[in-house]
Amino acid sequence: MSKRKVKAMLAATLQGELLKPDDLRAYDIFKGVDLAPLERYPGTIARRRFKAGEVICREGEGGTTAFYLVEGRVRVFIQRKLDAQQNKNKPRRGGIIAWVGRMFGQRPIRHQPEHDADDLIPIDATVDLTYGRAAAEMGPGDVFGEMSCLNLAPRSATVVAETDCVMFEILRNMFEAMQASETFVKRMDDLYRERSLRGHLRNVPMFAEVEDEDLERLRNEVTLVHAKAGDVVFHEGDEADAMYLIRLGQVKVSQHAPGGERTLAYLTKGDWFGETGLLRGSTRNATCKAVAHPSVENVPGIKPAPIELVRIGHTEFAWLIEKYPRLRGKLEATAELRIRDQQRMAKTATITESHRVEELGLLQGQNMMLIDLDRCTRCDQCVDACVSAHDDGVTRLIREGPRYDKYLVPSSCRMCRDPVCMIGCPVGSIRRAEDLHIMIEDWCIGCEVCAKQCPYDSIQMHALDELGTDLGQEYEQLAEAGEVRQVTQQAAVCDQCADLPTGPACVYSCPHDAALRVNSVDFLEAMDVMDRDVHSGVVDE
Amino acid sequence: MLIDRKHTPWFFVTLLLSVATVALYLWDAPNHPSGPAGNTVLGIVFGSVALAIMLFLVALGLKRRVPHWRLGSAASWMRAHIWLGLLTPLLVALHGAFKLGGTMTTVLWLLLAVVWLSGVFGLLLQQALPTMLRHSVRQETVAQQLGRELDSLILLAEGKTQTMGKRIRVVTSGIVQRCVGLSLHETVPPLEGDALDDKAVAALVKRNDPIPGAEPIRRFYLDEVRPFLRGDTRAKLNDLSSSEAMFESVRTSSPTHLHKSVDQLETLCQRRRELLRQRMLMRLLMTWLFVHAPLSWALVLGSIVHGIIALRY
Amino acid sequence: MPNDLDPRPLNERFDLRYVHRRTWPKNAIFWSSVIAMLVTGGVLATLSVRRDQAIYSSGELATAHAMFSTDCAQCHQPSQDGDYWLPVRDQACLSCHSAEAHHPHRSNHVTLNAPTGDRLGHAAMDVNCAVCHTEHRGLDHNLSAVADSFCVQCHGDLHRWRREPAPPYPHRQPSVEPTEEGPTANPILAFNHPNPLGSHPEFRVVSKQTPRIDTTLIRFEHHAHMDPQKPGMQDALKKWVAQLEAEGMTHDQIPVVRANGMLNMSCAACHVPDDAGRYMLPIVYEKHCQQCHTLGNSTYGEPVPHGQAIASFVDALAARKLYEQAAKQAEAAKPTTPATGPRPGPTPGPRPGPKPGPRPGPRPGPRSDAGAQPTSIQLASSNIAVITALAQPRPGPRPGPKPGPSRTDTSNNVKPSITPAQHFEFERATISRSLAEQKCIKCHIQLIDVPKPKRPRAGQAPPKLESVDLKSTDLSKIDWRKVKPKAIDWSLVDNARIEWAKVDWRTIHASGWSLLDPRIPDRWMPRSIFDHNAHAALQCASCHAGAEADAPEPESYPATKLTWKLRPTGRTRQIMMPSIDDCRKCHHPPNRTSHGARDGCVTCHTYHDSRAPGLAGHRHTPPAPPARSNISRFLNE
Repeated sequence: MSKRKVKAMLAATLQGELLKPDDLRAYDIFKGVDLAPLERYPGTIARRRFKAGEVICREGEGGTTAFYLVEGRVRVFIQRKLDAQQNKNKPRRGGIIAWVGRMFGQRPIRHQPEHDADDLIPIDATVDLTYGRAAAEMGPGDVFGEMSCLNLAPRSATVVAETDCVMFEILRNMFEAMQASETFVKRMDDLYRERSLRGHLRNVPMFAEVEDEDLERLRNEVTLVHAKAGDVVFHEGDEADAMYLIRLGQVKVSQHAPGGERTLAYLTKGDWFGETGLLRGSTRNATCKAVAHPSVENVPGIKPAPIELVRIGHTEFAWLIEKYPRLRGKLEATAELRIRDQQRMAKTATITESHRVEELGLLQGQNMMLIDLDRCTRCDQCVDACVSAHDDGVTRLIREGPRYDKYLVPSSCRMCRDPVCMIGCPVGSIRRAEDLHIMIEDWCIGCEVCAKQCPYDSIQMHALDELGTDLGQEYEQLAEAGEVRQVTQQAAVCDQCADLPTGPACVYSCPHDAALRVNSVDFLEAMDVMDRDVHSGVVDE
Repeated sequence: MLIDRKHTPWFFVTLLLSVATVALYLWDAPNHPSGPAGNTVLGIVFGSVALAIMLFLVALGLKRRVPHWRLGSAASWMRAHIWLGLLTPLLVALHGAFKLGGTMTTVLWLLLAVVWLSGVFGLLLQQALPTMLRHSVRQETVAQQLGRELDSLILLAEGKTQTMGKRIRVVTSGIVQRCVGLSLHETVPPLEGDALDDKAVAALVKRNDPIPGAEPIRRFYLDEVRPFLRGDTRAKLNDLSSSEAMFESVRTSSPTHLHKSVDQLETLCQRRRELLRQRMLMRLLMTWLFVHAPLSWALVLGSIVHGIIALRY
Repeated sequence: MPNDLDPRPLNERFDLRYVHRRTWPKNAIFWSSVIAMLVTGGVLATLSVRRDQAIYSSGELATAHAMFSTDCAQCHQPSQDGDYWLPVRDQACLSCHSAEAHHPHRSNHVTLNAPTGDRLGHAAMDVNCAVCHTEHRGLDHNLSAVADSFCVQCHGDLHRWRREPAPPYPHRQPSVEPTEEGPTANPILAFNHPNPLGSHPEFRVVSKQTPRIDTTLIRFEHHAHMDPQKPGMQDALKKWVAQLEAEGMTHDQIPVVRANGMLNMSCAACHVPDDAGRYMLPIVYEKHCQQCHTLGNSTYGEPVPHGQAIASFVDALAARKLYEQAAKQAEAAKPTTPATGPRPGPTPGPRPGPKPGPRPGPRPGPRSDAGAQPTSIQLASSNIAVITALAQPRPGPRPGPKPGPSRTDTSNNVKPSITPAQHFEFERATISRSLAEQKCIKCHIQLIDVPKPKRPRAGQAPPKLESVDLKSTDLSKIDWRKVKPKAIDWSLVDNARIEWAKVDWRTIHASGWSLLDPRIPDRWMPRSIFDHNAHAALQCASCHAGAEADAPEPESYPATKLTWKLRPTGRTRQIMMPSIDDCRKCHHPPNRTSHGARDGCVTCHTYHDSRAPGLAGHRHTPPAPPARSNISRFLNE
C-alpha cells in the first residue's frame, strides 16, 4: 500500500453518530483520557448501533477502526470450517487409486499440522478463538479491531451482533489518544490478564501440563511489558533471564551471520520466545526486536502501534521448575534444538552478488527451486506432483518467473533468510516450522497480506471452492441470507514437502532431472557468481 | 532427459545384458534341431522378460497419475525406461529367433518398431529442443495458460469494454485505449455529452479522450496489430524484421510522448510471436508422444494376447 | 514478480485451476491411448467371436496341410473336451497319417496324448510328431525333410537311451575307437563328419567287422557269367538274343553288350528294376537262369522242374517207381487167373506223406488190367495208395500169401511187413538224394549232408521231423552234429545275426527241400532306402564292382570243409554292394570342387519304416491306417 494511500485512509472521518467529548466523559473507560484530540478531529469516534444479527465487520476486509463494545453481546468467529471439525483422516481428494495408495503408505501431505481443540487462534480482539471452536462471544467492555485501527491490518474475524448492541467505533487518532491514558492502558491490561492471558499461557506447550492453580499463580505474577516498534527486547549474547509471550504486535527474531542479520522468524500474537532464558546461566542465541506492521512502517507522521509483551522472569519461574522438574528437561531440549538449527543454517555468503542476483533476490533462497531449462520438457509433472502431494488440491508451484542463466526461478517458496511474508498476518496463521519451512494454518482468512508481502510471488491465493472446503456450521444461516461476504480464498505456500520422506515432490517427480532445490549460496558459489554477469553474455536478462 | 553422466551405469548394464542375452541365445541354439524359436524354454523366457519390461515401460505412463507416490524418483524411472526400452527389440528378436512369424507377430513387430523409433526420436528431440525453446522464447509461460496469455495480450492492448445500451463501460483500459480513447472501437459511437450516473465511467471517459497525434497509432493498431493479435497467421507482423520496420515507421509518425505506448505495443507483438513460437516448439516436443503412447498400449495388449494364445497352442 | 506487461498478480493472470483439468497434450494422449487399446481389443475380440484364428498362426502351413490353414482344430486338439491346452498331439497326426514306431521302446502309444516334448529343448525319448515335423514354416517347407540334428539327438549318443554305461567320451565328442559292440553304439553325428569317429560307419553288409560273406546258398559267380570267352557262352547268348528278338524286343532293349565282335551279357540281363525304378526285382530261376541252365530230364524222360514243383515231382517219381516195382512183382507172380470182380475199394491205411501235389491228377479209372502202366508222371500222392494197392495181387483164394506190398490187415498173419508208406518214404528219399547229387548241387550250395536213406525196416515208425526253434536258439552255439535230422525254417534266421565265420559248415545237417531255399536277399541293405532311378546315370559297375570277368579275386574267406567238396569260392561269396566310400564320392559336404549331393539322414533312412525289422528280429505292428473318408468329412473333421 502506498504511503499516500495510508495517510488518506488514516485521515478519513467516520460517518454516523459522531461523539463529542461530553458524550464520552460519562464512560469509565474514558476517565483520564485526554479528549482534546477529539476537539481537533471531531470525526474520529462514533456511536454505532447494531441490531441482533447484523454483521459488524467481516474477516479479511480492510478496516481502519477499532470497536469498543458498550452494550450488548456479539459473536466473533472465523467462518471457515476448520479441519478439526472435519474427519481428519479423510483426505479431500480421493478415489480408488488414492485409497490403494493409502494402503501402501502413500499419503499426501497434510498441509497443516494437527491441532488440539484448545490451540489458540489469535485474533484482533480481547478474546481469542480456539481451534476446536472457532468462535467466541464478547460483551460490554471488550475491544476488537485494535490492529486494524492502528496498523490497517485486515479484519481478522467476523463479528456479528447477537443482541442489539451499542458500540463505539474509533479511528486511529482517537485510539492513540486513548492508549496514552494510563487508565485505559490499565483497563486493557486487566482485561487481557483476565480474559486472554490464561489462554496464551496454556498455548505454550511447555505449560501444557501445569495444573490450573499453578497456572493461576503464574498468571498473576507475570508482568506486562509495553514496547515500541524498534525496541530490542534482548540482544543475542545477552544473559537470559526471562521468557516472553506476545500479546499484541510482532517481534522479529534474528541472528548474526557473516553476511548480515539473518531473520529466523516473525512472531505474532500468541507466540512466545526466549524460553531458554528461564534456565539459569544461559545466554540468548538470537536478537528479538519489536517491529512495526509493514503498512504503517516508515510512513511519516504515523507512529507505529506499541507492541505488548508478557514477561515471565525466571524468578517467577523458579518455583514452577521445582514443582515440575520435567520443565527443565523440556527447556534444555528446546535450547539444544535451537543451537543445532543455528549451526545447521549457518551458511555464510562470501560471494559478491551480481546485479542480476541482487535484482532477483536469489541469495534469499535457502531452499530455492530452480528449473534447468535445457533439460525441462515443460511437461508439468512437477506441478502435478505438487498438487497430488498435498491434500488440498492446489499447486504451490507455478512454472513462471524470472530467468537466471539457464534456470527458471519459478514461483515457489524460497525459504527466505528474511521471511517478510510472516509480517502482518492478522490471525497469526503463517508460521515457520522447526526446519524453517513456512506453513499457513488453515484458519487463514484470505486477507492477502502475506501474498502481497512476498516479493517473489511465492504465496498464491486459491479460491476456496478449489480447496474443497465447506463453510462453517456457525455461519451457514448468515451465508444463506447473503449477509456476509464469504471467505472465498485462502493462501497456500510451498512447504518444501517437509513431511515427505523423499523430499520435495517437484524434484522427485521430474523425469528429466531438471528440477533442483538448492541453497542459493552453495549454488551461486558453485556457479561462481562473480564471473557471471550480463556483460559476459551468458546470463539471460 | 539429457543423456549425461548419470546414465553411465545404465549404459553399461544394458550393454552387458545385450551381450549376455545374445551369448545365451547362441549357446542354446544348437540344442534345437529345428532352430531356436519362441516356443523353446529360452524363447519363452526371453518373451516373458520382454513382456515384463514392456509392462514396466508402460507403467511410466501410469506412474504419472500418482506422482507423489514413493515408487522411485521420476528421473530414475525415466532412465530405466530409456535403457530398457532400447534393450527390448533385441530381446524380442532373440525370442522370435529373428523371424517375423505369422500375422499377429508381424503386426506386433511393426508396432514395436514404430514405438521404439518414436521413442528414440523423442529422446533425440529432447536433447535439442529445450535449449532451442529457452533461446527463442525469452519469457515462457505455462503451456496450459498459453491461450489465456495470448488473449490477455489483446486485453492489454485494447482493454475491455462493456456495452450497456448506448453507453460503454470500460472494464479495464488498454495501451491503445489510453492513447486513443474510446474511439478505438469504431463501430460503437463514442459517448458525447450524455449524463452519466456512474462517476467512474465519467472519469474514465474523460481520461480516455484521444491524445493528439495518436491517430496513426490507432490506424496501425486496427489495421495490423489487432488482426495479428487475434490470430491472423498471414499478418505481416508475424515476421520479426517486417514488424520492426512497421513499428519504426509508426514511431516516426507519432509524437514523442506516445513512443512509450508504441514500444509497449511492440513488446506485445513480440510476446505474441514468442508465445506462438513456444507453442510451436512445444507441440513439436510433444507430438511424437501421440504415436509413442497409444501404440505402446496397443503393443502391450497385443503382446499379452499373443503370449496367452501362443502358450495355449 | 508479475510480468512486465501485465501488472496483475499471478493468480489473476493464470487460471490456477488448470491443475485439475487434463489439458492438451495429456488429455489427447490419454484418450488416444484408450482408443488404441479399444481398437486393438475390439479387433481381437471380433476375431475371437468369429473364431478366426488365422492371425495367430506363426507361419504358413506347408502345402500338404494348406487346405486346413484356417482350421486350427485339425491339429491342435484338446486331449479331452474342455481341455485348455492345445498343443499338437500325436493323436491329431495319426488321424490321417499312419506312422510306425521307430523303435520298440519308442512306441506311439506312449505319446498319443502327450504334448509336444520339445519344450525342454533337448531330445526326449518320448518325443512326438511335431518335434521333428515342424509346421508353420511356410508353404514350401518340406515336412518330411527332417534335419540330421533330430536323428543325432538320439543316435549321437545311443548309450544314453540304452541306459548303458556311457562310453568314456564326452557327449558328442567321439575320441576313442569304436567298440566291438557294434556300430549302433557309436555316435553318429553326420554322414560325413569331420571327425571320422562321428561319421556314419561302413555299411554293415560290407564292413570289416562282419564277415563280408555272401551267405546266400547259391553258387553263383558273376564273372563267370560275364565272361564272353567262356566256352559255350557265345552260342548261348546268340540263341538267347534270337529268342528275344523273336519275342519282339528291339536292339536297344536286349540286355546284351557287343564288344570286339563278341556278345556279353549286361547287368540288366538279370537285374531288372521294379516299376518305380528303385530296387531290383528278385532273381527268379525261371526268368533268369532256366534259359541256359536247364535241369534236364529224369530217368523217365520228364523234364525236372525247379522250385516247389520238385516235391510233387519226386513224389510222382517215387510213386511211379513203386508202381513199376509192384508191376514187376505182379508180373513175376502172375497166375493166369482172369481178373474180374469188382475191385476192392481203397484200402484204408495210413496215408503216406503229408505232401499234397500241386494239382490232383486225373483219377485213374477202374482198371481191369493190372498190368497196364500209368503213362503220366504227374500222379497225385494221394493216389499212392491206389497205386500200391494196384500193384498187389488181388485178394481172394490164393495159393499162398506172397511177399509184396501189403496192406494193413487183420489177418491172422502176425508177421509184420514194411508198409507202403515206409516204402514210399524210402523211395522218395532215394530219388531226392539222387536228384540233389546230380542236379541241385550244381547251383545250390549244400549246407546239408543228406544222409543216405536207410532201408525201411518193418515195424519202424516213419521218421519224424523235428523242428528247431530258431528264434531263441543261438545258432552259432549249436553242435550241429548232434542235431539230426531236423527241419529248420531258415526263413526265420537273420542272416546278420549269425556269425557265420564261427559256424562250422559241415556240421549243419538238415533235411527237406526247404534247405534249398537260396535265401537271396531281396534287399541287401533293408534298413535304408535307395532309388536306382536316381542313379541311372551311373554304370552298374561303378558301385557294384567285381562282376567283370577280369575282376580280381577278392580276399580269401574262411576255409570250410564240406562233404561235397563244393567249397564256395571267394567269388561266390563276394558281396558286390558298394561301400560307404563309394557313396561319399558324391554325397559329401560342400568342398572346393562341388557342393555335394544330399547327405542328410533322411536321404537314405526312414524313421517310420515297418519294413525294417526291429530289434531282435521282431517286427512292429504298425498302427492300423486310418479309415478313409469322403472329401467333406476329410476337410471338416
